[in-house]
Amino acid sequence: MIKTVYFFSFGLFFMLQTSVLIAAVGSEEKKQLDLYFAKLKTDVNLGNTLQTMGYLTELRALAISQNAKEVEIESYFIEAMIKRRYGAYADGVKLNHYALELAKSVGNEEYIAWAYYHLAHLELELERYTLALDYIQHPINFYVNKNAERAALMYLWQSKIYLTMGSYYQALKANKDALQIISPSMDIHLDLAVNLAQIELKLGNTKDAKTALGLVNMEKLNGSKARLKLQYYLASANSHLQTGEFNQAIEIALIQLEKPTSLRFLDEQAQLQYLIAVGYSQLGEHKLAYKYLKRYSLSNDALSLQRRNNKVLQLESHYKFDLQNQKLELLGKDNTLKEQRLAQQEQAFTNHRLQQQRWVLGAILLLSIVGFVYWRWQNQRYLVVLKQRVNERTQELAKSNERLKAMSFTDSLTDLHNRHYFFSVIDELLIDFNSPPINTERQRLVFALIDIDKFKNINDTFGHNVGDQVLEQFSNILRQQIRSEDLLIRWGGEEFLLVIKNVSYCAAEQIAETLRSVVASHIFKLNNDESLNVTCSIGFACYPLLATEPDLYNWEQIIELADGGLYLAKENQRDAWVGIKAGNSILHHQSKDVVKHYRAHLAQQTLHASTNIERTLNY
Amino acid sequence: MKRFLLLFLLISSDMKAHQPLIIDIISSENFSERYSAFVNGRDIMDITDFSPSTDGSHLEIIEMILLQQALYLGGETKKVEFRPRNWVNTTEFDSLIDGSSLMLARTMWHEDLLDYRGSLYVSDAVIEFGQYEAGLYVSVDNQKAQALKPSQLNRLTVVVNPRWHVDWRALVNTPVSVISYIGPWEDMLAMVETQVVDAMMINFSVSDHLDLNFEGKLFTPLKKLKVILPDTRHFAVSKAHPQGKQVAQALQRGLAVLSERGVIKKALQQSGFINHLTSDWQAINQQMVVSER
Repeated sequence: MIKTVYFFSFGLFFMLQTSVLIAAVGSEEKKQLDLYFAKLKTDVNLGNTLQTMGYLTELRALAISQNAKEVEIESYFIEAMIKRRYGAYADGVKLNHYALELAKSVGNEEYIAWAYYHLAHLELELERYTLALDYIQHPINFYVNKNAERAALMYLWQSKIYLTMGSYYQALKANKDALQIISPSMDIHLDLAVNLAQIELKLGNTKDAKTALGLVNMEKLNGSKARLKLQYYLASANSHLQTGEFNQAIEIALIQLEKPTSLRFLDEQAQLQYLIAVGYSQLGEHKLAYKYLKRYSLSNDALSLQRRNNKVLQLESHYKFDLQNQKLELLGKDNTLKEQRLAQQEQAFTNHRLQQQRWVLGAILLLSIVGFVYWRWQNQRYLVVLKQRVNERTQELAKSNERLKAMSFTDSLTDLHNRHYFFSVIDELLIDFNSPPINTERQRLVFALIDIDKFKNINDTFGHNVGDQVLEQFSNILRQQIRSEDLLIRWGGEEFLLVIKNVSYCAAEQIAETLRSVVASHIFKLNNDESLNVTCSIGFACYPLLATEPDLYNWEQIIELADGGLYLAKENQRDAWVGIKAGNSILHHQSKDVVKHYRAHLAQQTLHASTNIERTLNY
Repeated sequence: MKRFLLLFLLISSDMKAHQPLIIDIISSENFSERYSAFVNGRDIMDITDFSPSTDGSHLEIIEMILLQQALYLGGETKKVEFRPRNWVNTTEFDSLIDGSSLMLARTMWHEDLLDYRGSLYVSDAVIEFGQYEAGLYVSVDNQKAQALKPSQLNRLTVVVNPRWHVDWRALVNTPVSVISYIGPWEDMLAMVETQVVDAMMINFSVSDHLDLNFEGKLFTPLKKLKVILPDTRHFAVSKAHPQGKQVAQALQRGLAVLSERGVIKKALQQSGFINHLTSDWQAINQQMVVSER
């Protein structure tokens, strides 16, 4: 079976070689590589694998220089196999791992599978069964649906691992799996039949073991590897032993033991010696049994030494691995510590910087706040001052305004309100009369215009100073005669307007008469101790003119009517009063016409005039 | 003379008929006392309840009884007499091969008998493949081992004698780390007790809590885990012994009857060998059984 492996390997190698040759025709190195390859092929086929060691290093160097990765991998496989066969397991493991890594780097799945196969083989010999089982699963998975014969080879090795582990039923199953996918004509069938016999013997199924051995093609067996042959005869001898055919068993075993090849396979040799010893002991040949038991014991000791050596190797490799791991771990820990320290320092630095920044920011903030508060405080203070000033100014202004207002509304000479004042208050006075109907006679506003008779003459005669004194005293007289709620206005020049609230027309007549008579009887004392008699004329009218229709005549028209009355008083007599009111006849609704032509209306008696003048008035 | 000869033959055949069967037991294991206590003067054939009366392994006593019942049922009605003999271990069959012993009143692993089947009659299996289960016993003080999860079993060290081939094979097929030691059983238990190793593979104890008390030292199995011993166990009878063939035939017939009646299984169950307390425990080498053909 090993031959099959070699053939396969070289098949791949050959294919690769062909392609490499095409790529580099004429290369001297290529030729040399080709030469070595041919030699390698021959040597391996002849079983002279050890001799290949002489030029394997050179071959690999050539492969590396020409970047022939697969050739390099192949060289590792062969060297690893040789090392394994001669007990240099550590080297074997190392070389196979090189091959595996290289195969992985070029992505060659088949070489990866083979690397695992070789590793499984090695681990089996190192008695690391779990690892061996793991490894062999890779090539099984790779080949199971691709190549039956190679899949069967992998199953066979899986079965061998199970057999060595003592899990016979699992070994049997793996062997069956292999047998199911191949035909008896295939070379591997031989290996599987012998393996099957070995398993059945372990299970005590001697009959089945014999059947399995019967399947072996003896011709093929003779042409097969020495170890397989040895295993076949060992199984055969064992089957005889189990059935009590001691002589046959011993005979077969003795023949195999006499062959020099058996010396190369210590395990099988020991088993044969033990078998002979057990056979002889059951035949009662104790002396012979002792002899072979002794030989077995020696072989077994040697085997134990070999196994112990393997275990020492394992332990060493474990120890080295552990040591390396420990070192790595320590380095890792050290690195982690350093990193941690660095990180801590960085953190501390960052913290410090942050702290500084915080302080600076805090100080700026504090200053800003203080500044702001100070600014606000100053601002507030200034605002208060400003407000105070504004208030003062406003108050001053208000006072000024008041004064101005008072001044603008007051006649400086008589200290009476002027006509501006009247215009500012007239609307207020009329509010009560704007909502009809006005039912009572009392609810009237009497507008009376009072004019000093012949005042021009006084001015002309006595001078304006006297005129002013007259005006002053005249106004005082009027003021004394009126009620507090009545309004006295200096209408202009020597003319005054008196607004009397809530009096009837008749009462107005009396007031007019009182005023006239008081003025007429008053002696105006002048500064030069002279005295003077002054009269006045009064014209008045009531607002509203018509109680039923207060809106028909506005206050201006009423004053005009009063002015009309004044004129009539002046024209007809002086020192008199004339009141105008609505006559009995129905007044024309066109008020403008009535006011304008009041004389005609008086004549027509649509307006009616009352007076203190005793003769009939001329209109 | 003829009469005398006839009389001699009659007497000798009668003597032969009443000659007891001498069956070996291992003197060092000393089950005689516990065996006598269990039988308690009863006729062997009257024993139908195999529930243990004492702690400790009960299998050896059950096998002694089953062997006698099988022989009787197989037609071998001679009285059985047990002869304690100094067997170093059960895999030395010299006395069976040369016929100086008829048989041993204990079953043996099939694996150990294979090479001697030319000299021994091997009975049908008394304990079938997969029936033999054992626990991994640790010292009650070994909390670390008891805290291990199934996935951490590679950290568990288990001592085993490599001469016990089946035990060895069983443990090699588990994830545990096998430590080999060749020496007395008691030493191995001491190794566990002192925690030189974590565990030792031992038949489940028949006590209610499965704990094993050995000379005042308490051991407990790792909970929920068991190991299957991957082989069958058989009685072996000497081919060279004059009574060998007859006894072997009777034994084979009797075992078939017992098996058919379900007595063997019942005995194994009642004795605690097939332990109901561990029936749902995980066998850590189950794969050795599942692919059985």
